[in-house]
Amino acid sequence: MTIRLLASDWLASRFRLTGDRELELPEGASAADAAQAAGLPEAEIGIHVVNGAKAAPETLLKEGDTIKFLPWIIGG
Amino acid sequence: MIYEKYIRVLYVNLATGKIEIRQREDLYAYLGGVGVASKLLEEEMRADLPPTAPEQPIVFACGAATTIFPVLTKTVAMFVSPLTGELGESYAGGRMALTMFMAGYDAIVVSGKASRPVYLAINTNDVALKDARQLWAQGSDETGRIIREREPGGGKRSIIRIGQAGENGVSFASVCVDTYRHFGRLGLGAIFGSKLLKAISIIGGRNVPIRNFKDYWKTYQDIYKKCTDTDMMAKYHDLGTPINVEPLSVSGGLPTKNLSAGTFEHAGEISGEKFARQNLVRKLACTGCPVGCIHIGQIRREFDKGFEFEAVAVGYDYELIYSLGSFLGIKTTDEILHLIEVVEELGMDAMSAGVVMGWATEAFTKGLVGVEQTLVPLEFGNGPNYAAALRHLAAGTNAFYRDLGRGAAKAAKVYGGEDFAMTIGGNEMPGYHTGYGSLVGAAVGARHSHLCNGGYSIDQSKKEFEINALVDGLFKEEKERCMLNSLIICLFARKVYDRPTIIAALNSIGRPVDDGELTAIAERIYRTKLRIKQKLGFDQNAVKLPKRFFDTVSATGKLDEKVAYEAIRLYTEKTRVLLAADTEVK
Repeated sequence: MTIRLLASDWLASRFRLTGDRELELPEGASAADAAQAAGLPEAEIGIHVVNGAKAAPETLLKEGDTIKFLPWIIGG
Repeated sequence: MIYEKYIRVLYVNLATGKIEIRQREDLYAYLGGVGVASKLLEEEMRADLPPTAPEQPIVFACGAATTIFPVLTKTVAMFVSPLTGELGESYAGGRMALTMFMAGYDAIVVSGKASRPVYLAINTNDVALKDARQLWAQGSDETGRIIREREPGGGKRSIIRIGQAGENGVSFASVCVDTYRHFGRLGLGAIFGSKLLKAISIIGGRNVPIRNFKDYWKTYQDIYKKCTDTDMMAKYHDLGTPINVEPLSVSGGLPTKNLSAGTFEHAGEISGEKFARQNLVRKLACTGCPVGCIHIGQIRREFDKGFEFEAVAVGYDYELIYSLGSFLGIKTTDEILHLIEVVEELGMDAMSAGVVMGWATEAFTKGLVGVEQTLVPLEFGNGPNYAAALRHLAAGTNAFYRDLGRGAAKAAKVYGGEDFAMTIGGNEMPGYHTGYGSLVGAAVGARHSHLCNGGYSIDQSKKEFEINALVDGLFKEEKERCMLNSLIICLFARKVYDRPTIIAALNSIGRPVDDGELTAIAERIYRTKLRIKQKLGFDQNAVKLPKRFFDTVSATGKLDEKVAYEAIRLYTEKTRVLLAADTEVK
């Protein structure tokens, strides 16, 4: 299946992603699988966003979904 | 003092002009920073008098290893808070810690009230009170500029000062440190104002050679590399804490429009990325920090008719973007920077200023107050009107603004709307509606700040909520931070400074410690803070949380009032046990 990856600016620049793009994933792939396919270490991801809403890493994806990864909240 | 077994304290009485230096061996057990400052506050404060009474002290302390190692950059200020009436504790970076160290003082205690406006000029071999009548009523920037001319010594000089809000006794007035840093929270600026103390200038000229350079240098390099060659601090430098805006909004933890929502529809327009692309012009660092997390944004300001514009540089951070942005429904980076600049000039804590405006907006909308009181119509998203209202607030234009200047909780007692006066323990809420960790953490935190125990961090750990685990986690972190803040570490780097690193660092500069002693120091400091709170009449179990926290769904779901109060009760029991186990002579 094909999903659309929207890379957050910071994660994209830090991990040299090429920006928004299509990702080809096998049926039954999860949000965490998408991160791996995009080359993002799971440990760097604070929030998985599927179709604009916060989602668990194990959320199963379907054809045409958009996915975005956001970093952990930081601070003192 | 490094290589000495005493703490060197400068005492200044503004009323009598008496200046005294004491070498306090008994304070050595408190390490430095918040440990020393807490003990001095406990000694000097007057629990029977109001926070702004002339007798009340202001205590500053730098850390036990200030600026000797990377990222140990901060100074702590302790006082009786005019906002909460109890423990006042605030931290600032900039150059102040370095200059205190180089001037030869671990701590400074200022008491009394001057007979006319003064500023305190501290040099390595001289301490003087100087006339500041000309500076009174000047803004923070102008005051800094004039004192820079009067007290030459660039690079090893720190100038801290108040603006109009501090002079007028606004309970959350701040003290600006070296232009871009602040003692922001809990109203130190109002204590300065009550003493007619406009500013303090510190110039340090002392040099302390490192004795065991080999060990020191190895430890220094290890820490430096962790800060610069790994990803541990990268986010802080790249986008800084504004990186939080988007994840918090997506997860429902971004306080929006007086916390009527946890998601802001315009979050993408005020995100860290947006600020960086649109306004970021410089990154700065506190002295002794290789990271450089201070992000400076630039805006254009029209200062006169005829298309007269100037460029204005303003520091920005997540907490400011939240409080003067999403919390007030402000949806552009330029408007937020304009409001930050107003708050800077007037000398107010940006977080409290935004949160009181959020309450005032809702009170106005609900008809609890009218335009005859607010003087400008307050509505979410209206930046120019908020700028005007902030000026009325700092000036104390009328009774309403003077009440508002005492904080949202006190204003709501007068006008109603306590359910949506977003304070925790009397302090305006931080920018995290992430769950029980952030809410209970700020409620039980010694200074009711998100920085007391990092409760928001527990919320985002993705572990299933369990009340005892939460309480244990908050308690452990609160204690540990007492030790970290005695060094004083910038808490952004708390993961760099684990226990083995701290032990190696202190041992390499002649302060032998082990793990057990660090734990004992942490507990000693926390007990001192708890005793101060008790003496000032604080009752943890009497803290009431506004209903809005339980109505607006948090990032980790809807919060249950009973669970929150039960967590506070469990935490209070732990502090009772800690205090009861105190066998040390006070």
